[in-house]
Amino acid sequence: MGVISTSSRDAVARPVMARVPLVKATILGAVVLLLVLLVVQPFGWVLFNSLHDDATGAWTLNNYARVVQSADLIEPLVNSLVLAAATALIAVGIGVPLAWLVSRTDLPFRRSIRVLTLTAFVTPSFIGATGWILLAAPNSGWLNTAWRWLAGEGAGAPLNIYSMAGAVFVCGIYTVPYSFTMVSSALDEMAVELEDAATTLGCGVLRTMVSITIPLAAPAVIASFILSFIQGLTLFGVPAFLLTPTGIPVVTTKLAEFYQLFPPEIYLAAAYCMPLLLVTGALFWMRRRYLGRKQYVTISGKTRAGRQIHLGAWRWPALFLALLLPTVAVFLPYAALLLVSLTRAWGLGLSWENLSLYWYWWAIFGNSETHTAIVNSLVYSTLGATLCVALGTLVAYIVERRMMPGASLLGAVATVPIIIPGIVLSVGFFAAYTRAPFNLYGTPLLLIAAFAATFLPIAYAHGGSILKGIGPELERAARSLGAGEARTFLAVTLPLMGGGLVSGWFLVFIPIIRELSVAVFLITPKTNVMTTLIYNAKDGGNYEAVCAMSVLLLLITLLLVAIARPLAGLTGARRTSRKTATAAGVPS
Amino acid sequence: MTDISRRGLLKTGGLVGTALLSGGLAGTGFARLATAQDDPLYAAARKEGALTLYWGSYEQQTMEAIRDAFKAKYPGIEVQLLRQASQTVYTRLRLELQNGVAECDSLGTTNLLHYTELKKIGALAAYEPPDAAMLPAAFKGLDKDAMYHVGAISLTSINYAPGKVAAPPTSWMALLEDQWKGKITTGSPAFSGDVASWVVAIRRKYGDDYLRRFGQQKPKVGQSNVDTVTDILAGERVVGSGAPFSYTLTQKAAGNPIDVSVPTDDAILNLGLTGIPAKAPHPNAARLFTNFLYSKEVSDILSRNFWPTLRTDVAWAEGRSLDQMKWFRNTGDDLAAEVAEGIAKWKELVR
Amino acid sequence: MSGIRITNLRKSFGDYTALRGIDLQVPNGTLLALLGPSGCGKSTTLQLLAGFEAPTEGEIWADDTLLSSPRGVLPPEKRGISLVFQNYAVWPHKTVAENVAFGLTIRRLPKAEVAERLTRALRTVRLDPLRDRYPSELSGGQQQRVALARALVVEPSILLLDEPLSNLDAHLREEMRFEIRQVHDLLGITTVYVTHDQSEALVTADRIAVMQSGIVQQLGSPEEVFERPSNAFVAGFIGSNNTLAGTSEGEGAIRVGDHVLTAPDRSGAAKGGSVALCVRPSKVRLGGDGGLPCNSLPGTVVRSAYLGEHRDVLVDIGGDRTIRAFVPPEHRYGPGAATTVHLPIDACQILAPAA
Repeated sequence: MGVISTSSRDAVARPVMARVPLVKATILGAVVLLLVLLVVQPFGWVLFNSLHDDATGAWTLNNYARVVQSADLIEPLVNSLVLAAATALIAVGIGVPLAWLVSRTDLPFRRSIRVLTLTAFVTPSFIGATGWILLAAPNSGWLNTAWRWLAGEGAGAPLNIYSMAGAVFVCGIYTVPYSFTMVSSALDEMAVELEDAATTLGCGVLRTMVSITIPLAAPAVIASFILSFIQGLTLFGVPAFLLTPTGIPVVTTKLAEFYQLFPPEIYLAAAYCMPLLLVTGALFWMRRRYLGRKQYVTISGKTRAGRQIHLGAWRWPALFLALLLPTVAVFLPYAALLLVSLTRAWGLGLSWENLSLYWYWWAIFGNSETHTAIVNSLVYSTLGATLCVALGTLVAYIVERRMMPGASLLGAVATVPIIIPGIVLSVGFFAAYTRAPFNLYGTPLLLIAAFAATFLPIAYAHGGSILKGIGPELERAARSLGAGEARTFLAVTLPLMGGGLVSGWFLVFIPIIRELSVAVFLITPKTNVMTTLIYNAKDGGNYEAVCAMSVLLLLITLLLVAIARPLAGLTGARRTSRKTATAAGVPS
Repeated sequence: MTDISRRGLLKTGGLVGTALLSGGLAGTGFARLATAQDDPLYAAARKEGALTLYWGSYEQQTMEAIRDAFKAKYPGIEVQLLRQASQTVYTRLRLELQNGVAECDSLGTTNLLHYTELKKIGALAAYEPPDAAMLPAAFKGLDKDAMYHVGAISLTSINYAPGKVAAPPTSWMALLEDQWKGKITTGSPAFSGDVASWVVAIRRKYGDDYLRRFGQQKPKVGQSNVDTVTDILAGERVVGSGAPFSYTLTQKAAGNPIDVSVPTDDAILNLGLTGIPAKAPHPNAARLFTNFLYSKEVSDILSRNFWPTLRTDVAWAEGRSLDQMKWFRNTGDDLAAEVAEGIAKWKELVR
Repeated sequence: MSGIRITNLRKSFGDYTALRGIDLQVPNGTLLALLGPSGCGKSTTLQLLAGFEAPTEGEIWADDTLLSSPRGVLPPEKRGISLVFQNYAVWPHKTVAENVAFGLTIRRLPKAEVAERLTRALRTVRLDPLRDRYPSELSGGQQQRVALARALVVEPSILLLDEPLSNLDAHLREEMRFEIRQVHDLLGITTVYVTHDQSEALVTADRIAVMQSGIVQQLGSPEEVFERPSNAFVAGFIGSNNTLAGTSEGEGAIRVGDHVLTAPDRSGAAKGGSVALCVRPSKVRLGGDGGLPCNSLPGTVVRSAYLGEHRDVLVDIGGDRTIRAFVPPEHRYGPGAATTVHLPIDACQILAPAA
C-alpha cells in the first residue's frame, strides 16, 4: 500500500454543533403526519365508535361488556383463532420450504413457480372458495364425482369443503404467497457461506435448510407467520362460503351479521374487533421477545457470491412437491372457474352447444361499468401500492434505525389497520376522510388513501424484514464518507432493498386489486372497482360472469407481473459483473 | 356470437325496446321522448343535470336496464348508479347522514324498516308520483305521508332441479317430508333479508315447530337465497327453500335446468321500497326517476327480467300474475323485533 | 489532520453503562490503538468518535472543534472522519470503482479530479485491474483493501479502524499490520485503531489505550504498556503473565498465602490492602538456584507442553495457585515432578489488582 494522497484536505474545524437537519426533520414530520392522517384518525373513529351505543349514540362500555359476556360472541372468536392459527401454520409450512426451493436450489422451472405462486395471490378469497366449492362440494364437487366414478357409486364423498378443515385448507393455500414472497426475498439476499457445509444431498442439505438457512430468515418467517395469522382472522369470503353452511361462525361472518341487522350494530362491530387487536398485539410482543435476543444481518459488508444448492437426483421429486401448491391453488380451481365461465348456462354442464365466450364479451364490452372499474382498479392499486410501499418502507427504516424517539410506536401504528376487518375499517375511513377538512368522498383519493392505509402493515413488515437483513454499517460507511442521511438512504439502503422492494410492491398491489370489503362504503358510482362488480355479479347469482371476470382479473394482474418482472431482476442487491463473473480469482 | 342470452339482449335492447314500444303506443303520455318544454319536472331535473341512485333492489343487470331507459327517455341528466346490497346501501346512507354528506337522490332497498327509521329522523322528503296510480291496489299508498313507495316486489318460493325431482314439493309443509331430507338448500336469515322474511312468515303460520322439523331435514344453509340456485345448478342439492322467484326464472330462461314451485301455502311477498332523501342534491331529478319507476318502460324491463311488474296493465313474464298465486306479506309495527327473534330461533333450531 | 481530545466520556444504554468516564488525548498524526477484550467499551468509543452515537456525558474535540457532547452531535458526514469496518462494509451493489469513488462524488469534485484520485487510490491498493468487479467477486483481503481505499481517498482528517484485520486469515493479517502502519507513516493521518489483539496493537500503534469495563486502564507507548503495566489487568492482557493476588505487607512486599514475596512496588497500596504480584512466564526459572535475587517457592509440575521455541510448564505452588514458566525446550519436566519456582525480583512487579 502506498501513497493515497496528501494534498489539500478539508479543515474539520467547524464551530457549529449540528441540529436535526432540515431534510430529516421534514421527512420525519411528513411520515408522522401521514400516519396520523391515514391510520390514527380512521382507527380513532373505530375506537370512538366502539365506545358508543348503536341505538342512542351515547358513550358506553356496553359493547365491550357484550363481547366479553355473550357466549354467542365468544364462540366465533375461538373459531377465528383456530382458523387463523391453522392458516398461518399451513402458510409457513408450505411457503417457507417452497421459498427455499425456489431461491436456493437448482429446482427446474423456478421462475414459473414464482409466477404461479403470485397467481394464487391474485385470487380474491371468495373466488378461490368458489373454485373449491365446484371441486370439492360433497355431492357435486368434481373431484368427489371423479372419485365416485373411479371407486363406484357407493364410495361416498372423500372431500367436504364445507368444513373447518376445508376452510383452513382454502385460507391456507391462498395465504402461502405471503410467506413465500417474504421469505424468498429474504433468502435471495442471504449470503451462503453458512450453508457451505451442505455439499452433499439428502440429510445434509435438508438439515442445513432447517437448522441454518430458515433460522437465519427468521425475521421474515415470523413476519409472514403473523401476517398469515392476521389474514386468517380477517378473511371474510372463505368462511362465509365454506363455514356458514356448516354453522361454524367466525368473527368476520359475525361482523357481517351485525351489519345485516336492523338497525345495524356498527358500533358493536367496532368493539368486536378489539380482541383481534389484542391477539395480534400479543403475537408481535412474542416476536420481539424472540428476535430481540438475536442479531440477523444477512447482507453484511462482507460478501460472497450467491450460489445454488444442487438437488441432483432430487430435482424432479422436489419439482413435484413445489407444483402441489400451484396445482391446488391455481390449476384446479381456475380450471373449474374457466369451464364455468365458458358455458352459456353453467347448470347445463359441459356440452358443445353450451360452450360460449359470451360472458367474456359481456364482461369486456357488454357492461358499461366494467371499463371504468378496470381502469379504476388498476389506477388505484398502482398509486395505492406505491404510496403504501413508500410510507411503509420509510416507517420501517425509521423504526429499524431508531431515527427518532418513540420510533417503535410508529411501527405499532403502522401495524394496526390490517388487523381490523375491512367492513369495520371502511366505516372508520368513511368518518375520517369524508368530513372537513378532507372532504374526499367520491374522489379517487379516498380509495387510494384507504387502500394504502389498509395494507400499510404488509409494506411495513416486509420493509422491516428486508432492512433487518441489511447491516447498518453499510449505511454508516456512507455517512462517514460524507453522505447525509437522505443521500445514504437513496444511494445505499434503497438499492440494497432493491428487488425486495419490488416484491413488496406486488405484495401490496395484489391485495389492493382484489380487496373488497374496505371499499364497500367508500366506492361511488364513479369510483367503482372490479371486485365490487364481481361481488355484485355474485350477489346476483351470475356465476358465469363472476368466473369470467375473475379470470380476466387474473389475466390482467399476470400481465402486469410479467411486465414488471424484468424490473425486479434489474435490482438484485447481490450483483455480479457479467464480464468477470467467471474470471479467475473469484473465491467460491 | 350466435348465442346471445336474454341478458345480452336486454343490455343492448334497453334503448331499442323502449323506442319500439314508444312507436306502438303513441299517445299514451310516455310514448315519445320526453321534452323539457311540456314537462316542468323534467325541465327542473334537467337544470339539476344529475341523479345519483343508491339501489339494492333488483340485481345489477335489471337496475342498469332501468337506468339506461331513464337516460334514453330523459337526455341531459347524468345518472350515477350505485348498486350494492340493500343493507350496505342503507348503512352507507346513514354514514353519509352522520357525516354531513348528501350524495343520494333516490334510495331503493328491500327493507321497510329502513324507511320507517329514516322517516322518524326526518331524513325523507315527501313526493306523490302520479304514475303510481297504476300499482296493484294492495301496494298503493303505503305511507300516508308519501315519504316512501313500492320500488320492487319480491317473491320467495321453492325452486328445484326438474331433471332430478319427479314431483317437486308444492308447499312449505311438503318440504318437511322425509324424501327431502338432506336434499334442501336455503339461505341464512342472518345474511338474507328475504330468508329472514320467510322465517318470520313461517313462524307466524306454523310456529317454531316448523323450524325444528326443518332443521331435522339437514338443509344446507348458504348466505344469500341466491345460493339455493347455485347449489341446485351445481347439483349439490335438488330443492331450494326460501328461494328467489324472479332470479330462478331468469336462470331458467338462460337455459339452466331449474324451475320454481309456488307453494300452495303462500309465496312470501316482500316489498322493496323507494324514497327520496330530504337532503337529496337533485330533488327534481329524484322525483322524475321515482315517477319513472311506475312507467310502462320500467315494468316492461321488469317483466323481461322475470320480476313482478309495478303496473297492473303490464303482465309478468310467462303470463304469470299476482292473482294466480296465493301470497302472504309480513305486516305489523314490530317487525324488527320479530326478525331478531326469528334469527335467534333459527340459530337455535336449524343451524 | 487533527488531534483528538476526549474528556470524561460516558455512555449508557438504558441500565447498561458501556463507558464510565474516559479521558484520552490523541496528538495530531499519531496512531492510537484502543485495546481490550470484547465488551470493554472500545467499539462504543469508536461509534461515539464517528458520531453514530451521542455521549451520555463528556465531550469529544477535534482540535478546537467540539464534535460531540450530550447537547449535540456533529453528524458523521460532517466530521471528516473515515471509518473502516470490521466486516469491510463494501456495498454489494456497487463495483469496486463505485465503492471507492463514492466519497468523492458526494463532495461534488470535478469529474477529472474524481477519476484521477480514484485511479491513484486503486493503484495504491493494487485493485486497479479489478475496478469493475462487484464485491461478491473479490476475496476477503481484496474487499478489505477496497474498504481502506474508500476510507482514505477522501483524505479524512481522522481515520478510524474497527478491528480491520479480524476477518482475515492469519498470514494476511500479519502482512496487513505492517501495511497499515506504513500507510500511516506516509499519510500521517491521526488514526484510532480498535483491536482486541495485543500484538496488532504493539506493532501498529504509537500509543495504546488499554480498556476494560468502560474505563481506560492505561494509556502509554507500547513499551510502557508492556513493561510497566499500571495494574494486574493490563499486565495480564498484554502478553502472557502470572498474577498472584495477595495483600500488601508494606511497600515492596506482598503476602501470597504463607509466602511473603518482595518486588518493586507500583501499587500505591497501604499495608493490608489488596495487591497482586505480576511476572512474565518468560522470566520465571525452574529448579536450581535461579542465579539472580529471586522469590523462590516450592512447587509441583502440573503439565508441560512443548512449543518448539520453548516449553510451557505449569507449576502448582499450593493454595490453588499456579505459575506458568516458559523454559528452554531442552529442559524436560514430567507431571508430578517436584521443583522450585524462582521469580526474579527485578522481573516482578507489585501492582494494584485488576480494576
